[in-house]
Amino acid sequence: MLEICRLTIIESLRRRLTLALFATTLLLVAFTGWAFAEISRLTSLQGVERVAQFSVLLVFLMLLFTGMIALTAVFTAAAAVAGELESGVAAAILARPLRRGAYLCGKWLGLAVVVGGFALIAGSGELFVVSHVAAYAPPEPVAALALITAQALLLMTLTMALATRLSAVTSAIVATVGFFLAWMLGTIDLMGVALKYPSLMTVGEVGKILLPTNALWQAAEYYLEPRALLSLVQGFGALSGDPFVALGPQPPAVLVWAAIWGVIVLGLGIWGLGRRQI
Amino acid sequence: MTKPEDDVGGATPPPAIRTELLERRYGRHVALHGLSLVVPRGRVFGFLGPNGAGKTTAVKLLLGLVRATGGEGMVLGLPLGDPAARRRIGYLPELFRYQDWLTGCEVLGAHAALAGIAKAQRREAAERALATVGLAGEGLRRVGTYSKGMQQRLGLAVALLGEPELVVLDEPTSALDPVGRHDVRGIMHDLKARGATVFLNSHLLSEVEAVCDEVAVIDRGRVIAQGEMTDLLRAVGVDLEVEGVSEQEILRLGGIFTPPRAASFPQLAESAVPELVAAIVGLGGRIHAVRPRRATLEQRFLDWLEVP
Repeated sequence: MLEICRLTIIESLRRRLTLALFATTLLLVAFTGWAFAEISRLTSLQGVERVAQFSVLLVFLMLLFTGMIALTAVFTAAAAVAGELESGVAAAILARPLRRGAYLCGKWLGLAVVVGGFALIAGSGELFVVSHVAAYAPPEPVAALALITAQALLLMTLTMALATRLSAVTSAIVATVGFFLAWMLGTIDLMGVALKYPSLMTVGEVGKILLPTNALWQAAEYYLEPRALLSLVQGFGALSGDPFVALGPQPPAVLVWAAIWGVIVLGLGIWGLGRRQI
Repeated sequence: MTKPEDDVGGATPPPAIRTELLERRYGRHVALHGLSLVVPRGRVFGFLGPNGAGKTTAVKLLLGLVRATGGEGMVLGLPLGDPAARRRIGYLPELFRYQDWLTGCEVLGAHAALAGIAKAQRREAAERALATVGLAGEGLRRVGTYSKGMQQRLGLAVALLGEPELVVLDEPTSALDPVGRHDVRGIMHDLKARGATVFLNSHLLSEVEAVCDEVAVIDRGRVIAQGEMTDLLRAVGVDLEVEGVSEQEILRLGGIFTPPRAASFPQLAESAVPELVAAIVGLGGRIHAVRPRRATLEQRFLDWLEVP
């Protein structure tokens, strides 16, 4: 398993994936720094209003960042698993005394290092540059980044499981659609809560169970928002349906389910690979 | 339920491969239909068949890359796909592809690690395998820069790592030039000399004829012929160039005479040739040439497949 993990990491280095991710991170951080510096210079808002402005902007930025990390996780995982199975490289490897479960877990571990490392480093860069140029820092950046990274790993796991049976393109498309669908269902859930429509809330809850990526985003979102601001706006019902504002933390059961979901999906991937002819 | 075969007192190890009515279906399509095969140890075994006969499916079943839908089989005395058996098998796939972003040495190092070769011995094992396949000095180049022939040689080196007891070669010379094919024949002879079993799946009948001790031919998923190469190619009939004997005397010996000096004995077994020669000499005849009618594997192959 560790040998497969090592090979997966070497592949990302040799194929210049790591270099590309590093360059993308620099570009992203530089652009974010410029944009927040400009907004900081031009804004006339002060005090709580200024905090509110930067809080919403940061949540929006991190939502885009989350989408970027998700796509990175999806395409990296699809190519790493389906690509190797389709090309024939896996045939020689799986003829060795290596169980398919160990092969897939090794791939998972290697990709988790690459994707998780990218999410943590690039995310930290984003938060650092914002705090530096705009003098605004979220209350719990470590928790927020950990949840954003977990979301990427969950999506990566789903893509890997799909890629054991589907082609690279198909598994990437299905996982990407799933990611955006989960986001849409999460937004419907928020609207259901705001408007008190039980059917919308039910759809949202089902979405969280089927693919808990958006639940992790909402959990991360809460840790990006200043508590003082949240107490201030909690009285305004209008904000409770806003996808850019999380009024409370996700229940621990949701986070536990996300972890269990990941293990189940990886297990399904191992089962799928075990039944596949190589 | 398949159980490991007993090695009675360690004296008679089980055959390298034994399958019984091994079957693989894909829905209604039968890729392999009841393959029953015994491959003894220490032999070079040729596995032949036309395209789509089920050869590669059979190879993948033996390696556990594909699961059987019927029948059973043992490799090196262990059930199909058993990791302990795979530790003792080397495999060159038909569609050989190795990580083009690694060097040749790194590919071999990774396979050595996966095969369970001790870390201290991996480098030496990799260098020895590279030298065996004629890639000494090329190990530090990325596989992506190798020619197709070099990549197939690398695949062969991967299959030879750790001195496996069974080497499964699926079309091992498909990308090689005549020199490379000659080298591969030498490698197969060396494997046999050290007691390894070679399971060779090849379309190149001349290659199979040159190196194999035994062959099995499958068609549409079934074995249609199997036997020792010497038996399968055994000569039946002999042609002579002879002087000093009459047409009647040749006829009496069971032959046909064609002037000026050709005589043929189409039903004569190869073992009876010395007696025939002695009889002709006894009649005062002078023999200039004796040519047993030896079938080629290609002729036999076409006969088995009933190709007119």
